[in-house]
Amino acid sequence: MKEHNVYEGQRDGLFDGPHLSGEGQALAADALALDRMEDLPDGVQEHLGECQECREAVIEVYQILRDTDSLPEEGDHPFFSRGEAVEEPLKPAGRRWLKYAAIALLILLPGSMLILRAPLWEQASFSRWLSGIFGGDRHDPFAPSPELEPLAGMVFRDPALQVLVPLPGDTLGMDQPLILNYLGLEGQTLLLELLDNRGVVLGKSMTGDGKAQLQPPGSQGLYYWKLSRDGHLLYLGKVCWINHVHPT
Amino acid sequence: MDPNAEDLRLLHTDPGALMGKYLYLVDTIVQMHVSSGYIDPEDKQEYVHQILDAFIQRIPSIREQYNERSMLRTYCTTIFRNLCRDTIRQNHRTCTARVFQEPPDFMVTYISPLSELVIRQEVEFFGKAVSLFGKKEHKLRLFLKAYYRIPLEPEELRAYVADAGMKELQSWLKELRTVDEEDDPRLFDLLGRLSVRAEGKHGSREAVRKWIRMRINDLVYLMNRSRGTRHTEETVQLLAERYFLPGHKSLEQPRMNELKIRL
Repeated sequence: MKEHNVYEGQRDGLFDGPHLSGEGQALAADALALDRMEDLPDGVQEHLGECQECREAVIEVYQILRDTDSLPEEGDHPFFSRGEAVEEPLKPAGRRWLKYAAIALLILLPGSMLILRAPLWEQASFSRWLSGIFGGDRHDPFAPSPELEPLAGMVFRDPALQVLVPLPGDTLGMDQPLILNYLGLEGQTLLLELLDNRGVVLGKSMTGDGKAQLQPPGSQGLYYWKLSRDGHLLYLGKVCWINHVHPT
Repeated sequence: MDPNAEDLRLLHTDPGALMGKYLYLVDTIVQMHVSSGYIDPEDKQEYVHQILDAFIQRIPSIREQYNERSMLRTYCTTIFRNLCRDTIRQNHRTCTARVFQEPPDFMVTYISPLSELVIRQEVEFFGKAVSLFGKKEHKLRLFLKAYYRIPLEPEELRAYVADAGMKELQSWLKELRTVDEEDDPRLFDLLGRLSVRAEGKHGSREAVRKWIRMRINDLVYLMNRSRGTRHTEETVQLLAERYFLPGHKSLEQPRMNELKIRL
Protein backbone atom coordinates (compact mmCIF):
# COMPACT_ATOMS: atom_id res chain seq x y z
CA MET A 1 0.00 0.00 0.00
CA LYS A 2 2.81 2.37 0.82
CA GLU A 3 3.91 2.58 -2.80
CA HIS A 4 0.98 4.96 -3.28
CA ASN A 5 2.86 7.42 -1.20
CA VAL A 6 5.99 7.83 -3.25
CA TYR A 7 5.29 11.49 -3.17
CA GLU A 8 5.87 11.80 0.54
CA GLY A 9 6.33 15.42 1.29
CA GLN A 10 4.76 16.51 -1.95
CA ARG A 11 2.08 18.81 -0.70
CA ASP A 12 1.11 20.66 -3.81
CA GLY A 13 -2.65 20.67 -4.26
CA LEU A 14 -3.49 18.94 -0.99
CA PHE A 15 -2.72 22.00 1.09
CA ASP A 16 -3.97 25.54 0.88
CA GLY A 17 -1.85 27.76 3.08
CA PRO A 18 -1.60 26.24 6.55
CA HIS A 19 -4.51 23.83 6.15
CA LEU A 20 -5.64 20.99 3.95
CA SER A 21 -7.18 22.18 0.70
CA GLY A 22 -10.65 21.10 -0.34
CA GLU A 23 -9.17 18.14 -2.15
CA GLY A 24 -6.89 17.33 0.80
CA GLN A 25 -9.93 17.23 3.07
CA ALA A 26 -11.86 15.19 0.53
CA LEU A 27 -9.02 12.69 0.17
CA ALA A 28 -8.83 12.28 3.95
CA ALA A 29 -12.62 11.85 4.15
CA ASP A 30 -12.41 9.13 1.48
CA ALA A 31 -9.57 7.49 3.42
CA LEU A 32 -11.64 7.57 6.59
CA ALA A 33 -14.55 5.93 4.80
CA LEU A 34 -12.34 3.27 3.22
CA ASP A 35 -10.24 2.64 6.35
CA ARG A 36 -7.17 3.73 4.43
CA MET A 37 -5.88 6.49 6.70
CA GLU A 38 -2.43 4.92 6.79
CA ASP A 39 -2.20 5.18 3.02
CA LEU A 40 -2.63 8.93 2.98
CA PRO A 41 0.45 10.93 2.03
CA ASP A 42 2.69 11.46 5.04
CA GLY A 43 2.24 15.23 4.99
CA VAL A 44 -1.53 14.85 5.27
CA GLN A 45 -1.23 12.34 8.10
CA GLU A 46 1.18 14.59 9.95
CA HIS A 47 -1.06 17.58 9.54
CA LEU A 48 -4.12 15.69 10.77
CA GLY A 49 -2.11 14.66 13.81
CA GLU A 50 -1.81 18.33 14.75
CA CYS A 51 -4.79 20.20 13.34
CA GLN A 52 -8.19 19.90 14.99
CA GLU A 53 -9.74 22.32 12.49
CA CYS A 54 -8.97 19.99 9.59
CA ARG A 55 -10.01 16.92 11.58
CA GLU A 56 -13.38 18.59 12.13
CA ALA A 57 -13.76 19.38 8.45
CA VAL A 58 -12.89 15.83 7.45
CA ILE A 59 -15.19 14.13 9.91
CA GLU A 60 -18.02 16.44 8.93
CA VAL A 61 -17.63 15.61 5.24
CA TYR A 62 -17.44 11.92 6.14
CA GLN A 63 -20.62 12.29 8.18
CA ILE A 64 -22.44 13.98 5.29
CA LEU A 65 -21.43 11.23 2.89
CA ARG A 66 -22.44 8.57 5.37
CA ASP A 67 -25.82 10.18 6.06
CA THR A 68 -26.54 10.36 2.34
CA ASP A 69 -25.31 6.86 1.59
CA SER A 70 -22.66 8.38 -0.67
CA LEU A 71 -19.51 6.86 0.78
CA PRO A 72 -16.95 5.90 -1.85
CA GLU A 73 -16.25 2.33 -2.78
CA GLU A 74 -12.67 1.22 -3.00
CA GLY A 75 -12.80 -0.14 -6.53
CA ASP A 76 -13.92 3.23 -7.87
CA HIS A 77 -11.43 5.39 -6.10
CA PRO A 78 -9.05 7.45 -8.23
CA PHE A 79 -6.26 7.48 -5.62
CA PHE A 80 -6.63 4.36 -3.50
CA SER A 81 -7.54 1.90 -6.21
CA ARG A 82 -5.16 3.04 -8.93
CA GLY A 83 -2.17 3.73 -6.73
CA GLU A 84 -0.81 6.26 -9.14
CA ALA A 85 2.57 7.66 -8.25
CA VAL A 86 2.87 11.39 -8.38
CA GLU A 87 6.29 12.81 -9.06
CA GLU A 88 8.09 15.21 -6.79
CA PRO A 89 7.46 18.75 -7.92
CA LEU A 90 11.18 19.47 -8.04
CA LYS A 91 13.37 16.73 -9.46
CA PRO A 92 16.46 15.75 -7.42
CA ALA A 93 18.75 16.86 -10.21
CA GLY A 94 17.21 20.31 -10.17
CA ARG A 95 17.62 20.50 -6.45
CA ARG A 96 21.30 19.48 -6.71
CA TRP A 97 21.92 22.20 -9.25
CA LEU A 98 20.37 24.74 -6.94
CA LYS A 99 22.59 23.55 -4.10
CA TYR A 100 25.74 24.07 -6.16
CA ALA A 101 24.52 27.48 -7.25
CA ALA A 102 23.84 28.47 -3.67
CA ILE A 103 27.30 27.30 -2.51
CA ALA A 104 28.97 29.25 -5.30
CA LEU A 105 26.90 32.27 -4.45
CA LEU A 106 27.97 32.12 -0.83
CA ILE A 107 31.65 31.76 -1.67
CA LEU A 108 31.62 34.55 -4.20
CA LEU A 109 29.30 36.91 -2.49
CA PRO A 110 31.61 39.62 -1.15
CA GLY A 111 28.94 41.00 1.06
CA SER A 112 28.22 37.70 2.74
CA MET A 113 29.74 39.00 5.95
CA LEU A 114 27.10 41.68 5.98
CA ILE A 115 24.49 38.99 6.32
CA LEU A 116 26.04 37.89 9.57
CA ARG A 117 25.79 41.44 10.86
CA ALA A 118 22.22 41.87 9.70
CA PRO A 119 19.44 42.30 12.25
CA LEU A 120 17.75 39.24 13.67
CA TRP A 121 14.83 39.53 11.28
CA GLU A 122 16.96 39.32 8.15
CA GLN A 123 19.13 36.56 9.63
CA ALA A 124 16.08 34.46 10.30
CA SER A 125 14.80 35.04 6.77
CA PHE A 126 18.19 34.20 5.38
CA SER A 127 18.49 30.96 7.33
CA ARG A 128 15.03 29.94 6.19
CA TRP A 129 15.95 30.70 2.61
CA LEU A 130 19.16 28.73 2.98
CA SER A 131 17.48 25.73 4.57
CA GLY A 132 14.91 25.81 1.77
CA ILE A 133 17.61 25.67 -0.87
CA PHE A 134 19.47 22.82 0.77
CA GLY A 135 16.44 20.83 1.73
CA GLY A 136 17.83 21.37 5.24
CA ASP A 137 15.72 19.80 7.94
CA ARG A 138 12.64 19.68 5.68
CA HIS A 139 11.09 22.28 7.90
CA ASP A 140 7.46 22.92 7.13
CA PRO A 141 6.72 26.62 7.72
CA PHE A 142 3.01 25.89 8.15
CA ALA A 143 3.34 23.03 10.64
CA PRO A 144 1.73 23.98 13.95
CA SER A 145 4.22 24.16 16.81
CA PRO A 146 3.51 21.34 19.28
CA GLU A 147 4.53 23.63 22.13
CA LEU A 148 2.77 26.83 21.09
CA GLU A 149 -0.30 25.61 19.24
CA PRO A 150 -2.23 24.33 22.30
CA LEU A 151 -1.87 27.75 23.93
CA ALA A 152 -2.93 29.86 20.97
CA GLY A 153 -5.87 32.11 21.73
CA MET A 154 -5.57 31.78 25.49
CA VAL A 155 -5.50 34.73 27.88
CA PHE A 156 -3.14 34.22 30.76
CA ARG A 157 -2.91 35.92 34.13
CA ASP A 158 -4.94 39.04 33.40
CA PRO A 159 -8.59 38.45 32.50
CA ALA A 160 -8.98 42.18 31.80
CA LEU A 161 -7.13 41.70 28.53
CA GLN A 162 -9.34 41.52 25.48
CA VAL A 163 -7.65 41.03 22.12
CA LEU A 164 -9.74 42.50 19.32
CA VAL A 165 -7.48 41.73 16.35
CA PRO A 166 -5.91 39.60 15.10
CA LEU A 167 -8.05 36.59 15.88
CA PRO A 168 -6.34 33.20 16.23
CA GLY A 169 -5.68 31.80 12.79
CA ASP A 170 -6.17 35.06 10.89
CA THR A 171 -4.48 35.07 7.50
CA LEU A 172 -2.49 37.99 6.13
CA GLY A 173 -0.95 38.71 2.76
CA MET A 174 2.82 39.06 2.56
CA ASP A 175 2.52 42.83 2.27
CA GLN A 176 0.31 43.19 5.33
CA PRO A 177 1.78 43.95 8.76
CA LEU A 178 0.52 42.34 11.95
CA ILE A 179 -1.73 44.93 13.54
CA LEU A 180 -2.67 44.32 17.16
CA ASN A 181 -5.60 46.00 18.87
CA TYR A 182 -6.52 45.15 22.43
CA LEU A 183 -8.52 46.50 25.35
CA GLY A 184 -8.22 46.34 29.10
CA LEU A 185 -4.53 46.96 29.68
CA GLU A 186 -4.02 50.35 28.09
CA GLY A 187 -1.48 52.44 29.96
CA GLN A 188 0.65 49.44 30.85
CA THR A 189 3.89 48.70 29.03
CA LEU A 190 3.58 45.42 27.15
CA LEU A 191 5.96 43.59 24.89
CA LEU A 192 4.74 42.19 21.57
CA GLU A 193 6.92 39.50 20.00
CA LEU A 194 6.61 37.58 16.76
CA LEU A 195 7.86 33.99 16.60
CA ASP A 196 8.08 31.47 13.81
CA ASN A 197 6.66 27.98 14.22
CA ARG A 198 9.92 26.80 15.75
CA GLY A 199 9.69 29.38 18.48
CA VAL A 200 12.42 31.66 17.12
CA VAL A 201 11.74 35.31 17.95
CA LEU A 202 11.70 37.33 14.73
CA GLY A 203 10.61 40.77 15.84
CA LYS A 204 9.64 42.81 18.89
CA SER A 205 7.70 45.94 19.65
CA MET A 206 6.73 47.74 22.83
CA THR A 207 3.19 48.98 23.28
CA GLY A 208 1.11 50.68 25.88
CA ASP A 209 -1.85 52.26 24.13
CA GLY A 210 -3.86 49.28 23.03
CA LYS A 211 -2.32 48.91 19.61
CA ALA A 212 0.94 47.76 18.06
CA GLN A 213 2.28 46.75 14.72
CA LEU A 214 4.95 44.38 13.40
CA GLN A 215 6.21 44.14 9.86
CA PRO A 216 5.49 40.94 7.89
CA PRO A 217 8.19 38.25 7.93
CA GLY A 218 10.24 37.39 4.88
CA SER A 219 8.41 34.22 3.93
CA GLN A 220 4.97 32.72 4.18
CA GLY A 221 4.13 30.37 6.99
CA LEU A 222 2.48 29.98 10.36
CA TYR A 223 3.65 32.44 13.01
CA TYR A 224 2.84 33.02 16.63
CA TRP A 225 2.79 36.27 18.55
CA LYS A 226 3.17 36.82 22.25
CA LEU A 227 2.03 39.66 24.42
CA SER A 228 3.83 39.81 27.75
CA ARG A 229 4.28 42.11 30.72
CA ASP A 230 7.46 42.07 32.82
CA GLY A 231 8.43 38.75 31.31
CA HIS A 232 5.09 37.12 32.07
CA LEU A 233 3.03 35.82 29.17
CA LEU A 234 -0.40 37.45 28.88
CA TYR A 235 -1.59 36.19 25.53
CA LEU A 236 -0.42 33.91 22.75
CA GLY A 237 -1.88 34.36 19.29
CA LYS A 238 -1.20 32.90 15.89
CA VAL A 239 -1.38 34.23 12.38
CA CYS A 240 -0.57 32.97 8.90
CA TRP A 241 1.18 34.94 6.23
CA ILE A 242 0.58 33.62 2.75
CA ASN A 243 1.37 34.92 -0.70
CA HIS A 244 -2.24 35.31 -1.74
CA VAL A 245 -5.19 35.70 0.57
CA HIS A 246 -8.18 33.94 -0.94
CA PRO A 247 -11.66 35.12 -0.08
CA THR A 248 -12.81 31.52 0.60
CA MET B 1 -17.79 3.98 -16.96
CA ASP B 2 -16.76 4.31 -13.33
CA PRO B 3 -18.84 6.76 -11.31
CA ASN B 4 -16.02 9.23 -10.81
CA ALA B 5 -15.26 9.38 -14.53
CA GLU B 6 -18.94 9.98 -15.24
CA ASP B 7 -19.07 12.82 -12.71
CA LEU B 8 -15.87 14.24 -14.14
CA ARG B 9 -17.36 14.20 -17.61
CA LEU B 10 -20.38 16.12 -16.33
CA LEU B 11 -18.10 18.64 -14.62
CA HIS B 12 -16.52 19.47 -17.95
CA THR B 13 -19.50 19.10 -20.29
CA ASP B 14 -22.66 19.69 -18.30
CA PRO B 15 -22.08 21.25 -14.86
CA GLY B 16 -25.79 21.94 -14.50
CA ALA B 17 -26.49 18.20 -14.62
CA LEU B 18 -23.71 17.60 -12.11
CA MET B 19 -25.27 20.15 -9.80
CA GLY B 20 -28.62 18.44 -10.13
CA LYS B 21 -27.00 15.14 -9.31
CA TYR B 22 -25.38 16.59 -6.18
CA LEU B 23 -28.38 18.63 -5.05
CA TYR B 24 -29.16 16.09 -2.33
CA LEU B 25 -25.75 16.77 -0.78
CA VAL B 26 -26.41 20.51 -0.57
CA ASP B 27 -29.83 19.80 0.89
CA THR B 28 -28.35 17.49 3.52
CA ILE B 29 -25.62 19.95 4.48
CA VAL B 30 -28.09 22.81 4.87
CA GLN B 31 -30.47 20.57 6.84
CA MET B 32 -27.59 19.58 9.10
CA HIS B 33 -26.97 23.25 9.89
CA VAL B 34 -30.71 23.86 10.37
CA SER B 35 -30.79 21.02 12.90
CA SER B 36 -27.79 22.47 14.72
CA GLY B 37 -29.48 25.86 15.02
CA TYR B 38 -27.09 27.65 12.67
CA ILE B 39 -29.75 28.24 10.02
CA ASP B 40 -33.34 29.26 10.58
CA PRO B 41 -35.63 26.55 9.10
CA GLU B 42 -37.46 29.25 7.16
CA ASP B 43 -34.23 30.24 5.41
CA LYS B 44 -33.35 26.74 4.30
CA GLN B 45 -34.25 27.09 0.63
CA GLU B 46 -32.57 30.48 0.44
CA TYR B 47 -29.35 28.89 1.70
CA VAL B 48 -29.60 26.08 -0.83
CA HIS B 49 -29.93 28.63 -3.64
CA GLN B 50 -27.07 30.77 -2.39
CA ILE B 51 -24.78 27.74 -2.16
CA LEU B 52 -25.71 26.56 -5.63
CA ASP B 53 -25.15 30.05 -7.05
CA ALA B 54 -21.73 30.24 -5.45
CA PHE B 55 -20.91 26.73 -6.63
CA ILE B 56 -21.75 27.58 -10.24
CA GLN B 57 -19.42 30.56 -10.08
CA ARG B 58 -16.65 28.31 -8.83
CA ILE B 59 -16.99 25.71 -11.58
CA PRO B 60 -13.98 27.04 -13.59
CA SER B 61 -11.69 26.95 -10.56
CA ILE B 62 -13.00 23.49 -9.58
CA ARG B 63 -12.13 22.21 -13.05
CA GLU B 64 -8.68 23.66 -12.65
CA GLN B 65 -7.98 22.62 -9.08
CA TYR B 66 -9.46 19.11 -8.96
CA ASN B 67 -6.55 16.72 -9.43
CA GLU B 68 -8.47 13.42 -9.31
CA ARG B 69 -7.04 12.28 -6.04
CA SER B 70 -10.29 12.22 -4.10
CA MET B 71 -13.69 11.29 -5.47
CA LEU B 72 -15.21 14.31 -7.21
CA ARG B 73 -18.35 13.80 -5.15
CA THR B 74 -16.36 14.03 -1.92
CA TYR B 75 -14.46 17.05 -3.20
CA CYS B 76 -17.70 18.82 -4.08
CA THR B 77 -19.07 17.92 -0.64
CA THR B 78 -16.16 19.77 1.00
CA ILE B 79 -16.85 22.73 -1.27
CA PHE B 80 -20.59 22.71 -0.47
CA ARG B 81 -19.77 22.50 3.22
CA ASN B 82 -17.33 25.39 3.05
CA LEU B 83 -19.73 27.48 0.99
CA CYS B 84 -22.48 26.78 3.51
CA ARG B 85 -20.26 27.93 6.36
CA ASP B 86 -19.22 31.03 4.43
CA THR B 87 -22.85 31.86 3.73
CA ILE B 88 -23.75 31.41 7.39
CA ARG B 89 -20.89 33.70 8.37
CA GLN B 90 -22.01 36.35 5.90
CA ASN B 91 -25.64 36.19 6.95
CA HIS B 92 -25.11 35.89 10.68
CA ARG B 93 -22.37 38.35 11.44
CA THR B 94 -24.63 40.14 13.86
CA CYS B 95 -26.34 37.25 15.59
CA THR B 96 -23.65 34.80 16.55
CA ALA B 97 -25.64 33.84 19.64
CA ARG B 98 -27.70 31.50 17.47
CA VAL B 99 -24.64 29.49 16.72
CA PHE B 100 -24.25 28.47 20.30
CA GLN B 101 -27.84 27.46 20.92
CA GLU B 102 -28.50 24.04 22.27
CA PRO B 103 -29.95 21.76 19.62
CA PRO B 104 -33.73 21.82 19.76
CA ASP B 105 -35.36 19.05 21.78
CA PHE B 106 -36.89 17.32 18.79
CA MET B 107 -33.34 16.44 17.72
CA VAL B 108 -32.95 14.23 20.75
CA THR B 109 -35.96 12.16 19.91
CA TYR B 110 -35.00 12.10 16.25
CA ILE B 111 -31.49 10.83 16.92
CA SER B 112 -32.19 8.73 19.94
CA PRO B 113 -33.94 5.42 19.36
CA LEU B 114 -32.23 4.36 22.59
CA SER B 115 -31.07 1.17 21.08
CA GLU B 116 -27.94 -0.90 21.09
CA LEU B 117 -27.71 -0.28 17.38
CA VAL B 118 -27.21 3.44 17.91
CA ILE B 119 -24.53 2.78 20.47
CA ARG B 120 -22.76 0.46 18.07
CA GLN B 121 -22.84 3.19 15.45
CA GLU B 122 -21.43 5.66 17.93
CA VAL B 123 -18.65 3.27 18.86
CA GLU B 124 -17.84 2.89 15.17
CA PHE B 125 -17.87 6.66 14.72
CA PHE B 126 -15.58 7.00 17.71
CA GLY B 127 -13.13 4.68 15.94
CA LYS B 128 -13.25 6.93 12.88
CA ALA B 129 -12.58 9.98 15.04
CA VAL B 130 -9.55 8.29 16.59
CA SER B 131 -8.16 7.28 13.22
CA LEU B 132 -8.43 10.91 12.07
CA PHE B 133 -5.44 11.81 14.20
CA GLY B 134 -3.13 10.60 11.43
CA LYS B 135 0.46 10.30 12.59
CA LYS B 136 -0.66 10.84 16.18
CA GLU B 137 -3.17 7.98 16.15
CA HIS B 138 -0.82 5.45 17.75
CA LYS B 139 0.08 7.84 20.52
CA LEU B 140 -3.56 8.76 21.08
CA ARG B 141 -4.66 5.13 21.31
CA LEU B 142 -1.86 4.30 23.70
CA PHE B 143 -2.33 7.28 25.99
CA LEU B 144 -6.12 6.99 26.03
CA LYS B 145 -6.03 3.32 26.90
CA ALA B 146 -3.48 3.95 29.61
CA TYR B 147 -5.52 6.87 30.97
CA TYR B 148 -8.72 4.82 31.02
CA ARG B 149 -6.79 1.85 32.46
CA ILE B 150 -7.63 -0.38 29.52
CA PRO B 151 -5.05 -3.17 29.16
CA LEU B 152 -2.46 -2.48 26.49
CA GLU B 153 -1.08 -4.89 23.94
CA PRO B 154 2.64 -5.06 23.09
CA GLU B 155 1.85 -4.27 19.46
CA GLU B 156 0.18 -1.01 20.41
CA LEU B 157 3.25 -0.02 22.34
CA ARG B 158 5.51 -1.05 19.49
CA ALA B 159 3.51 1.15 17.08
CA TYR B 160 4.53 4.12 19.24
CA VAL B 161 8.07 3.10 20.19
CA ALA B 162 8.98 1.61 16.84
CA ASP B 163 12.55 0.55 17.61
CA ALA B 164 11.89 -1.07 20.99
CA GLY B 165 12.71 -4.74 21.46
CA MET B 166 10.32 -7.20 23.06
CA LYS B 167 12.15 -7.06 26.37
CA GLU B 168 11.83 -3.29 26.57
CA LEU B 169 8.18 -3.43 25.55
CA GLN B 170 7.44 -5.96 28.28
CA SER B 171 9.17 -3.75 30.78
CA TRP B 172 7.08 -0.71 29.82
CA LEU B 173 3.90 -2.80 29.85
CA LYS B 174 4.70 -4.13 33.27
CA GLU B 175 5.20 -0.61 34.60
CA LEU B 176 1.98 0.61 33.01
CA ARG B 177 -0.02 -2.29 34.42
CA THR B 178 1.15 -1.61 37.93
CA VAL B 179 -0.06 1.99 37.98
CA ASP B 180 -2.77 2.31 40.55
CA GLU B 181 -6.29 3.23 39.37
CA GLU B 182 -6.21 6.47 41.35
CA ASP B 183 -2.59 7.37 40.75
CA ASP B 184 -2.78 9.61 37.69
CA PRO B 185 0.38 11.58 38.54
CA ARG B 186 2.44 8.40 38.37
CA LEU B 187 0.79 7.45 35.09
CA PHE B 188 1.58 10.87 33.61
CA ASP B 189 5.20 10.58 34.77
CA LEU B 190 5.46 7.18 33.14
CA LEU B 191 3.87 8.32 29.88
CA GLY B 192 6.16 11.35 29.92
CA ARG B 193 9.20 9.07 30.09
CA LEU B 194 7.68 6.97 27.34
CA SER B 195 7.20 10.00 25.08
CA VAL B 196 10.82 11.04 25.70
CA ARG B 197 11.85 7.54 24.62
CA ALA B 198 9.55 7.46 21.55
CA GLU B 199 9.71 11.05 20.33
CA GLY B 200 12.84 12.32 22.00
CA LYS B 201 11.09 15.37 23.35
CA HIS B 202 10.44 16.68 26.79
CA GLY B 203 7.45 15.05 28.43
CA SER B 204 6.71 16.45 31.85
CA ARG B 205 3.84 15.16 33.97
CA GLU B 206 1.91 18.37 33.34
CA ALA B 207 2.55 18.28 29.59
CA VAL B 208 1.21 14.72 29.37
CA ARG B 209 -1.82 15.57 31.48
CA LYS B 210 -2.60 18.56 29.26
CA TRP B 211 -2.06 16.58 26.08
CA ILE B 212 -4.49 13.87 27.14
CA ARG B 213 -7.10 16.36 28.35
CA MET B 214 -6.92 18.31 25.12
CA ARG B 215 -7.18 15.23 22.95
CA ILE B 216 -10.25 14.07 24.92
CA ASN B 217 -11.79 17.50 24.35
CA ASP B 218 -10.94 17.23 20.66
CA LEU B 219 -12.66 13.85 20.53
CA VAL B 220 -15.76 15.14 22.29
CA TYR B 221 -15.94 17.96 19.78
CA LEU B 222 -15.42 15.65 16.81
CA MET B 223 -18.09 13.27 18.08
CA ASN B 224 -20.63 16.08 18.39
CA ARG B 225 -19.64 17.94 15.26
CA SER B 226 -22.86 18.81 13.39
CA ARG B 227 -24.48 15.59 14.52
CA GLY B 228 -26.88 16.75 17.20
CA THR B 229 -25.33 14.38 19.75
CA ARG B 230 -24.30 15.65 23.16
CA HIS B 231 -21.30 13.58 24.08
CA THR B 232 -19.30 14.51 27.12
CA GLU B 233 -15.95 13.35 28.46
CA GLU B 234 -17.79 10.64 30.37
CA THR B 235 -19.62 9.24 27.35
CA VAL B 236 -16.41 9.37 25.31
CA GLN B 237 -14.80 7.24 27.99
CA LEU B 238 -17.66 4.76 27.68
CA LEU B 239 -17.24 4.67 23.92
CA ALA B 240 -13.50 4.20 24.31
CA GLU B 241 -14.07 1.22 26.60
CA ARG B 242 -16.48 -0.27 24.11
CA TYR B 243 -14.22 0.46 21.17
CA PHE B 244 -10.97 -0.76 22.66
CA LEU B 245 -12.59 -3.76 24.33
CA PRO B 246 -15.15 -4.98 21.77
CA GLY B 247 -15.93 -8.17 23.66
CA HIS B 248 -16.18 -6.33 26.95
CA LYS B 249 -19.60 -6.76 28.53
CA SER B 250 -18.99 -5.26 31.92
CA LEU B 251 -20.33 -1.79 31.28
CA GLU B 252 -22.53 -1.03 34.22
CA GLN B 253 -26.18 -0.43 33.39
CA PRO B 254 -26.38 3.05 34.95
CA ARG B 255 -23.39 4.17 32.89
CA MET B 256 -24.91 2.64 29.77
CA ASN B 257 -28.11 4.55 30.43
CA GLU B 258 -26.09 7.73 30.67
CA LEU B 259 -24.68 7.04 27.23
CA LYS B 260 -28.14 6.36 25.81
CA ILE B 261 -29.51 9.56 27.26
CA ARG B 262 -26.73 11.54 25.66
CA LEU B 263 -27.39 10.14 22.21
